Amino acid sequence: MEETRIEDARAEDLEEIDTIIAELEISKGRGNLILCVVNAPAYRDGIIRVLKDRFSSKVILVKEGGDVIQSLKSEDFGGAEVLIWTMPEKLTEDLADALNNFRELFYDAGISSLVFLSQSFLDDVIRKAPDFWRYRGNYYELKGRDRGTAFEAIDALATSLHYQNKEDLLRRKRINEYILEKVTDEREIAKILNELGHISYNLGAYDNASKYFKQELCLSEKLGDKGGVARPLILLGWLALETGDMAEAHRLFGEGLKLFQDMNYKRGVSSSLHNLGSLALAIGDLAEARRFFGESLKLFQDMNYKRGVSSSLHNLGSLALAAGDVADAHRLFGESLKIAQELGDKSIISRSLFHLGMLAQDRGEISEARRFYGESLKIAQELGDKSIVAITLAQFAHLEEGEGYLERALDLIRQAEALFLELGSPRAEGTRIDRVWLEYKIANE
Amino acid sequence: MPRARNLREAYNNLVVEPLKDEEEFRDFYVERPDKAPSPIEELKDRIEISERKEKYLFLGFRGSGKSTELNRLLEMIDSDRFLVVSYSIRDQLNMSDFDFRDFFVSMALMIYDTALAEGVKLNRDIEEDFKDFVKRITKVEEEEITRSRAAGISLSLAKVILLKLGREAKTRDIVRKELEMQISDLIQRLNWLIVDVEEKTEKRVVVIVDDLDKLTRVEQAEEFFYKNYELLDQPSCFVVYTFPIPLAFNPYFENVSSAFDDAIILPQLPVINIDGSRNETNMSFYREVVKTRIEEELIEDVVLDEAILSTGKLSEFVSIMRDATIKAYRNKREKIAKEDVESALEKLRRTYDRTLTEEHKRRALEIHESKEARDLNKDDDVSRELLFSLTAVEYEDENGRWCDVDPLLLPLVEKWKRRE
Repeated sequence: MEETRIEDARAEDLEEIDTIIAELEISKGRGNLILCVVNAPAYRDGIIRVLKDRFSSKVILVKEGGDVIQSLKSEDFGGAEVLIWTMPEKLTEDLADALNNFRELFYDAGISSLVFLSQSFLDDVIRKAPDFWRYRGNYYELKGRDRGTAFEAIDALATSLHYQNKEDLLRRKRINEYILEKVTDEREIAKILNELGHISYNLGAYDNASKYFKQELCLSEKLGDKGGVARPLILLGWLALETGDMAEAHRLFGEGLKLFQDMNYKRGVSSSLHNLGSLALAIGDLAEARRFFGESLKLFQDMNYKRGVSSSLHNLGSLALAAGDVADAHRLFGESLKIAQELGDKSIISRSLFHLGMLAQDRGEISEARRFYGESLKIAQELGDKSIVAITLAQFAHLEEGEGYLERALDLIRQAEALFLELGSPRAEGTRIDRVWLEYKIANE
Repeated sequence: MPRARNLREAYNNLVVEPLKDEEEFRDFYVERPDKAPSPIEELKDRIEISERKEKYLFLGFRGSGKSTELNRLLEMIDSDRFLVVSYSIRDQLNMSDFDFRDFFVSMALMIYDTALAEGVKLNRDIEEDFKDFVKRITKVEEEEITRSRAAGISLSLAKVILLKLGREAKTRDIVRKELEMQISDLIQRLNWLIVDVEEKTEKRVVVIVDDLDKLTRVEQAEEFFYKNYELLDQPSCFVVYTFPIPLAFNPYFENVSSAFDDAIILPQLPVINIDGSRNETNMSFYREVVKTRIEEELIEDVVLDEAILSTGKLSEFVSIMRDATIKAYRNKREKIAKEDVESALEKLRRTYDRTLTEEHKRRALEIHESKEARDLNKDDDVSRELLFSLTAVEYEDENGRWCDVDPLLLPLVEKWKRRE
């Protein structure tokens, strides 16, 4: 299995792992402290298995500060060439003190220490155990398996669209088209255009969605309706985000936010902040994403707008996942899912299940991951939500590939690729490479 | 309906129920005095000429004849151009456990049911979507309706749901929970129905909702009209909402009323002027109300006047007359006597007296003296309670608006004053 685990790795990770191996080779017999950031425990364990094959190693699972001090002071390493440490998910005060105050022991041990920790643990180390941090030797950040969609955020649209399944959505589309021909009130027409845009968006017809939102924007501008202008701006921003045009998304979210702030329309403000958070998350600015999501969550809570709360919790979960705080991610996705289930909001339910599947997959709980992905996929297909269907199929393919079911993985990745292409998603290219890789592997089996 | 020639017929003609059909209007309706005409003609004109789908509040004290006037509106509106959906929430919903979500469900179902009764062939998608939605939010299954049909009870989906909503707390709980986050979805469906009904019938929809002013508790009325008033503007059709007049004494009324196209008031006709003199014009109106229903020889003017002066509210006056009639009938009289009226008045007076607290009485005295009914601050609602229970009444005449205690209680006022 270890071969497979490493094959799961991104190319840049493989290079980093080679560098770690080289560093451990040259520092044999000397004290050294190497930090290695890996978020997913299952991925980390795969790397450890490979290292154990190369070096005589002792793996120490750290739970509290005493584990570090006692292990190092005992000087009984059973003849190991490398001490491999795995840190817990959270840096406790006790552990921070141990790392800070007994950092010399790592060098006094006379053998190399490779410390695995998550991104959020590292962030805490930098803040709370700065002496340990400064005392380190080299440090590595491994990205893990190509999650592709790991940081999938969800929107908090100014208006929400509840529907049961794809048929329901298509029926609403027909109804709105029918009503659009009948009504003459321009404000009503703007509302209908907005809903048609939402429906197209949910059906993955982004060009149509963009067309409707732009029509709504023009009409609202003509009517002098600030809210009617801000709403499609935010939605067009979301479409820009979906299609990878980050600068345009930033401009549109910013304009929408300003209009909502001028109107003192709290739900609009919180939705805009939420979407700016999603944008920050997408470009990897975690601190900014945290700030935006935190602000929007508070506003949604103040308004008791549960869908917004559920969306914000979900995105904070994605953020925690991006930061490597798996426990927090699990908690946040769970909380989001609970609210979404109370509301019967299948869209958020589907996304939360998907992320819970990813967390299970990272823990190595494959059957649990399959169950979550299966449930998520089923709901997303019912809803006709092509975006989440494609994302789940792609992730499912990674899981099957990891388990050695290459044909199955190829079938899934082909379906995902077709959908991403249809959506004009920037993910299409990554999925194409995955598909080529799988075809190559199958051909060489 | 012939004018009653004896007490038995008089008893049956003196019904307090609002006038409904053409025959009742022809025989019993009395035009209001020129100085205080019914506002319904103007409302009808507004609806018929307005291009916007306006929303109106219709205010009037309980028993002032609002329902009769709304029924007239129904009769007067041009049925070739308008489809009127008129209903009383008292018939459809639970007045002591009322919520705005129940209300909008009832409105949508009433429009849907009216459309079906009119033979409107709705757009299939809109109809199926509406049925799916209401079944989902009420958890009513198709089998339930099929079963009731098999048992010989032929009820439409709308009727079944309205029945359950009005009579089953569990259904109300389900609806409220389901609609907690989806009220806009319901209103959207309501509006789709309206667009389609208007398209198919080539008529504009007018909804008249009666008895909203009779919500059991003031808090319910405040919750409905003050916390959710923005939703009341959402249906894309004409709507006339009856409005509890005591709520108009809440300072918040000015903010809320501006969200509606007009607040139409059916004035209470004073029989005693602000200066204590008799208002002969209004007295004539009340006399006429009885004289259209019973022959003159069944009651002497002086007796009739005592009943009018002691009530001054339409339904209360008719009710006292009916009560006096049965007393006269039981006393084997040929006509209604003074003591029959006095006995009926005294019974009602005692009932009022029993329900009033000392605080209410003190405030009633103040209202009588100042001719104004105001609460002391926003936490004080004693005056509003008196108006809500009709212990105090607001009038409108050439002197503007002014208040007094119910004329029935004037003898008690003297008693309370002496005690003070």
